[in-house]
Amino acid sequence: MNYRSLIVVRIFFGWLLLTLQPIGANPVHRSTLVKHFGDLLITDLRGCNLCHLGDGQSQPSSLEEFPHNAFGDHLRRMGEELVDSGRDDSIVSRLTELADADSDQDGYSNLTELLLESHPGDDEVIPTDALLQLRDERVTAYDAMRSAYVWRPFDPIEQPAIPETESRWVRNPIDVFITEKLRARDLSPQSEADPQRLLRRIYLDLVGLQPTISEIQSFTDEYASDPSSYERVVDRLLEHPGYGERWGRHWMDIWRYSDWSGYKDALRESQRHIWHWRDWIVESLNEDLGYDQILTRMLAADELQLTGKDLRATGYLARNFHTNRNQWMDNLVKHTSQAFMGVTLGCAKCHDHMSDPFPQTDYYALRAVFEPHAISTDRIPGQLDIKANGIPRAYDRSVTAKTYLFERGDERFPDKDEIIPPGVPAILGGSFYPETISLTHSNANPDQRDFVRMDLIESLRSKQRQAKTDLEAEVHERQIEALQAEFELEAEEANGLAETSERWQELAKGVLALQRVSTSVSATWQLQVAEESLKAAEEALKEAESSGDASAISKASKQRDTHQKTLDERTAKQQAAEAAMNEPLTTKFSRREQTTYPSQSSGRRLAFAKWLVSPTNPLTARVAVNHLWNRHFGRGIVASTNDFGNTGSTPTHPELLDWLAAELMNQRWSMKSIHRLICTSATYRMSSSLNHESRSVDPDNQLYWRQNIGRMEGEIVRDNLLYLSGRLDQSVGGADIDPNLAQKSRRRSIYLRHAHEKLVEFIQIFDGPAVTECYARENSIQPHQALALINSQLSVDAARAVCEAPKRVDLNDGDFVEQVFLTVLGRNVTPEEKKHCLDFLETSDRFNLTLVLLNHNDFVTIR
Amino acid sequence: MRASKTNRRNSSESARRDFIKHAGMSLSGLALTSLLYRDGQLLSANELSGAHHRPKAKSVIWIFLIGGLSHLESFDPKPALNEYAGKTFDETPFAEQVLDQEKLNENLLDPSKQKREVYKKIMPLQVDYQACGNSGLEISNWFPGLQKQADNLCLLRGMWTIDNNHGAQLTYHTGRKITEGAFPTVGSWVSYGLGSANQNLPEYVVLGNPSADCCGAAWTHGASYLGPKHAGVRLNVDPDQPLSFVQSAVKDQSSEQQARNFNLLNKLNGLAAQEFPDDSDLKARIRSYELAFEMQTSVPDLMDFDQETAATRSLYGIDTPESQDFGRKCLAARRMAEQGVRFIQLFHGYRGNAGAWDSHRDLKKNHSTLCKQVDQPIAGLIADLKQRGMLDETMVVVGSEFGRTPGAEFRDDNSNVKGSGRDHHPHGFTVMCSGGGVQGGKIHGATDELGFHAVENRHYVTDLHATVLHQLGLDSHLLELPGRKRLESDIGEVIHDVLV
Repeated sequence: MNYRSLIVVRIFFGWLLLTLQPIGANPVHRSTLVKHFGDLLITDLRGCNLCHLGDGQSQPSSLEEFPHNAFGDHLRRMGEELVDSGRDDSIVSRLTELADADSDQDGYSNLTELLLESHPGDDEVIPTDALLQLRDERVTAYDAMRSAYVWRPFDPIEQPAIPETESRWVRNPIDVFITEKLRARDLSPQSEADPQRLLRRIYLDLVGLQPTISEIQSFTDEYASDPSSYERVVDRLLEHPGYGERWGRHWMDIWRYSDWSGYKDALRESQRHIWHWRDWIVESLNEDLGYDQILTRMLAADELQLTGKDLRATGYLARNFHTNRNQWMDNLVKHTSQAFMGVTLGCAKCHDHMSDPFPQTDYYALRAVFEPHAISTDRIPGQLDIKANGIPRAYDRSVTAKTYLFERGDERFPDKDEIIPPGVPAILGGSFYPETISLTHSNANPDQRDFVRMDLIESLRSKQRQAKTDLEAEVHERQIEALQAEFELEAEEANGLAETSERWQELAKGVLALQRVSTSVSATWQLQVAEESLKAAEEALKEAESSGDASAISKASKQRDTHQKTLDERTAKQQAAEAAMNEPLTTKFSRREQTTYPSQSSGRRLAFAKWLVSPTNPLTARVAVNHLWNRHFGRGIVASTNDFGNTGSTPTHPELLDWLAAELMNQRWSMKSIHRLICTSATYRMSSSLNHESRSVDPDNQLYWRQNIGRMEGEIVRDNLLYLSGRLDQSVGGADIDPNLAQKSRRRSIYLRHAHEKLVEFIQIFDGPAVTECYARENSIQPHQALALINSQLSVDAARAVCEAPKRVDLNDGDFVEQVFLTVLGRNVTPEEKKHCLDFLETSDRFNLTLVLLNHNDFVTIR
Repeated sequence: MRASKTNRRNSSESARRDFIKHAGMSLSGLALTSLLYRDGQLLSANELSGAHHRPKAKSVIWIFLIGGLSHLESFDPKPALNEYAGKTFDETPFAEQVLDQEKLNENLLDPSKQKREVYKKIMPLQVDYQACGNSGLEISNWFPGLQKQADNLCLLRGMWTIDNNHGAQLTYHTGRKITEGAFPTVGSWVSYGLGSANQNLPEYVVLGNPSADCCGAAWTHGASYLGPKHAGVRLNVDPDQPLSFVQSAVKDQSSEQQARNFNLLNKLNGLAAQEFPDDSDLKARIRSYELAFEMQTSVPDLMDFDQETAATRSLYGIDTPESQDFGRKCLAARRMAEQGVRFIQLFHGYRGNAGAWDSHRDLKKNHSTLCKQVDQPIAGLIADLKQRGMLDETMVVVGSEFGRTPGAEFRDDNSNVKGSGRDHHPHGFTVMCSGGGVQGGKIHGATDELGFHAVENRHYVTDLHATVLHQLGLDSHLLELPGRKRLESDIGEVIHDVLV
């Protein structure tokens, strides 16, 4: 096409656009304007009339029909000026330039008119006297809005500078961000919590167990003279194995931990032995494995070519298993996006997302990331039966799995015209390049690992040891020989020996020879067994005949016939085996049954994980620190921890959240470093007491003028009933425990089975997590909780153990009351409380007193 | 003005406290109150509580069908849908009024965030209607039981709401959009405003599994800033296991010892309340223990249906497998109303996610099955309340978060998928009321010819709340807490036209 015709085309299209589309105020400009002023711009000023003349109702077809007013014209001219001087001509810059100008020459600046509900382009409309009174207030509000930190959760994270502060209250950067906002509202932070409450709070928060009497006493003594002893407590608790258990449960909520479920033996959801994943979580947290590593391994440990116990990480994927594949994939897309990215991509299954910028294809692109994978169970040393124990893990069963978009999300109607490639939401940026991964031989053939071979041999040896006859023992000996020959062949295959090679053929023939011997010996033994059985059956028949009992004779005769039939079959088999021995050797030996995985993995999950934990990913670190904040303060900085999109909550402290998110990455994704930062901040250490003045300004404590009052979670209530009575079994890890034993078991609650219809009622009553999802816990107060705490076996056993402990038996009543307050409530008894308790002991025993204290508000409450 | 409202609230609150101190705080006192009830000497609601005016009703039984009942196949017949079945809105004379974009956006909060296609292809009514009773109220044939109760029913056909997705379940109970978070539910305002008429049972009880996590979950019976004390208490209707941990694990724990334990606990928590006078959680926990103590006997009694005759059980559909479960809940609701429980909230149709009533496909099969589960129980409840002389003072309300679209949910014209269901519809739907001083055989409000927009006597969900509160003696305008801003739309207006 030559230059001239190009111009013609341009003119033609320009004309076409003008004719076909009625001209309206530029909608992009309009929405920018509305966004720029927020709520400060009244509805009347949000229409076309702000910049144009006319009624704004008719459908003008050109600028001539729809001319600018003085303000609009001014903006247009300013745009041209800015372009000419090579500056940014965005509508915001134009507005900024013209804020103090008076476009309509009515004596009031444009900004004044915009803020005071008057028209900047119409000199007949001026601000009313009443509104002029509000001028300073509105300008201040406008300035505050313009200078406020802008929350852009879908833009990459940049660590904001820490504002300068002279506040002496500040202990670390968290406090700076908090105090800034408090100061703006004339609020002041509460003083620090008293040492006993502070200690109990930090213990329950970091390890889920309350301090013992001696820990309380040594801390309060030390703290009085050395305030840094608190930091040492934090450090110590972060190294306590209970940290992984306490925070493991936190992440298990978010990552939807569930033991397997299904009717009777049928597996419907999750996987048997998924507890291996739970143990991996606990261990990884205790080792402070980076959050980036944790996510990567959960999504793609197999593609990282990790082996053995490290594959437990992919329990995250195994948990999502569902008998319905579409449901399985849906859960993964839905919850991976909510848990890790804080976006509700699941909403884009049937249509483009209704409030966030995710087209429907984003849903299917993420599904395509997971499409190739399936779940299998790997053997663990010492256990050949994977039904009894094994590691559920993910693998790719096909590198070419296809994903189709379902029309309106209906799986019955896949759009097969187009394969949806794996991908990540474009709006979130970053790069996603899946590369096919070739698995090592051992990873593709896990049953060829040394321990599996040893276990197989050992299981035959064990049978051999139990053999009743020499012949039977020989059977197993020959089996072992044949198996070992096969292992040898496998080993050389693993090193690249080709089936076409002479060496391979030689080895294969050797295996076949040994298998023939093994089969033959085995057949001979089987025949011998059958002969003996027949003999016994014949004798039984004789005995029956001599008794003359017709029914017994018929039964015995039938049995004899059965054994005869078996004998005939085995004779034939034995003869066949003998005959086979004489046939010429071939390479067609029979391979043992073993689990194998395709030698290639699609690399889609690994690519996704890399994208997810890349420092440019806008959401991962923000969502992570918000989850941590949520458990420490009872509310996330973004309250909707699983939704950072448009329908999610507005953050109370966006700047702080961004700072923390960047800090998490600066600290190599170490979660312990974030815990340390949070727990040693002055903000965290504040008292939770109310202050009337602050409350009237900020009743929900959105700005953190005090610490929030918390309540023990159900698991923590149960664990502490065991712990404070000295009965908690602190062993770590292992198979899930029958939930019906919850009242009797002394293990920590995290080890109790947690699955659909297999929940621990005591925990559920205290708002335990749902199996399907639990992004944040509720804190209800219900009479059911009262009944559970006063009537349950757990409480009764705890109360009994506390008051019957040898160290307390000889105490007098007064000392007993003091001790039991410290033990149960972690604080000293007040004189008045002591009096009531001593009065109570006049008519009741110590057991009932202890039971009452377990029900005291201060037991379940974390102040 | 604001101050006097607050004073009034405070005075009613303190009056209630005085009463409890006087008659109820000691456990023996509580037991006495319950005896008074059993002897039928029920004190009037006015004397017991902080009502703003003389109440007409004592209790509300609030039935919520999770997922969205089709108003078009229940209480709001539209012959035009049969007449124009298979045609699109554009082929009817009503297109302009129905599809007016401004009208479509009028109700929705943040319409730009609530994209939802309008399905224009009209789906005929999936069930026939009958004019019933003396009033001739038209009710669909999927509700044969309710058809017989027509003269006791009032249909609010002009309801609308602000969310076109299932977050509207929460909206139905609080008036707020789910993205705004938790707000006090209508039941929690009742609890807050009136307190209990029976110290043995919670004033606000919930039966059935509430909305799923997507749609409000526990917030649909929560109390938000009123404090957890006023949240709905969930109970089971299973007579074998009405309440977990109802018995002490201590063998032979005497009731005297139990009482002494609760007494000491009350004293100790009372001392804590002096240290933390503003801790609403602590107050709620104290109350939860008082209740727990009483519920150890009151709840097993309540769920013991052996005291009911076979005729009564049959009336509630308890002897029919489909309706057994919901029938039990309705019967339990009547028994609770008898005992003075203020607000009894029944959920039907929990299915995780959106809820069972959400019929995007196969509406006919879906709704007809679900109607069998609830029709007889609800009709039986109304009949039973009536025969016991309780209907005048017990208000039954049946509704769901929104209605369903007149158009069939289709994909595109080329598709071989026939739309067999209806989409979410916030622009007009029906709520059914009965008793509690509401007129029977009454229709109030209307949707347009296609059942699309509520056009006459339009009411937002909080008008229903205001009406319920009004009948119980509470003025929605006077319910407020310092520091908590209530919007006009939260408060609602009483629907006086339907009151006796």
